[in-house]
Amino acid sequence: MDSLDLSDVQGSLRGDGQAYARIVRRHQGQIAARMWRFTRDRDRLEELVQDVFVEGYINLRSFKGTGPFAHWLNAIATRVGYRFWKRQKRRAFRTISLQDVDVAVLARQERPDPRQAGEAVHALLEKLPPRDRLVLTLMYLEELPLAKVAAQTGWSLVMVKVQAYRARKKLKALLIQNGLANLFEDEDLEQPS
Amino acid sequence: MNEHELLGKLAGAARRDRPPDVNVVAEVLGSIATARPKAVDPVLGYFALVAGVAAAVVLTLAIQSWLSMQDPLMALGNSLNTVTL
Repeated sequence: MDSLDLSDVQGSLRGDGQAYARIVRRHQGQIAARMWRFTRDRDRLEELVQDVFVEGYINLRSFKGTGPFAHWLNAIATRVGYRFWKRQKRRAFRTISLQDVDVAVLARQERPDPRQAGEAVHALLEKLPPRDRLVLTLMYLEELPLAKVAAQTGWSLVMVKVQAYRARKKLKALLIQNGLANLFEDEDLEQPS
Repeated sequence: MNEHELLGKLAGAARRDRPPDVNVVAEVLGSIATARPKAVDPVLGYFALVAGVAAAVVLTLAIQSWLSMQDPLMALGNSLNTVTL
């Protein structure tokens, strides 16, 4: 896969449009999965995936081939998604209300429905500022280790840890504000007196 | 349950949620065709270079004459004298 990517990158740089078409075909599924963390709207998803590949093409010369092409493309996807959230915050896009997703019920189910869980996580995280949302998305939804979160965001390792800690605390405060304090009742009981 | 466990549980289920199929090959190729920088016409490039150099000379003379309170043509003469000497 990597050697295919490398030869297609070189072909694209020589102006072979079909080489870049092959790159898009190979990676669009994986990039769509990544951008699905940034929006739940199908039309916006397509726009974001498109933006990632256009930005990838423009920056293709900066791909040195030292790591997998997919990692390089994922870093671009993170940037595109983060910019989208910041724009969305400014323009007050339609958001999913916490009342529409039953977080408490999902949290108590043994195997929550993937689509409902996806909606719930999205609804919860979109109430947070973009930086908090980004760190939790990469850590929990993408399951990236701290070092990779740092690499993709350009933050230091300490910064990632601090940002994640603050983001979780804000999330807890948000849930309590929305009448979901009972989710944490067990935790309070577990704490030593 | 704490916030870390709650997120872990919901995100674990959400990871199994597949995105809708997308096919953006044609759109991407269309976008990059318009985004690709156009080659500069060599004749236009030559004229742009000559115009740039002329503008730089005029600007230099203007600054020089302003600084020395001289007539621009005198400044040009003095500059040519300096170059010749």
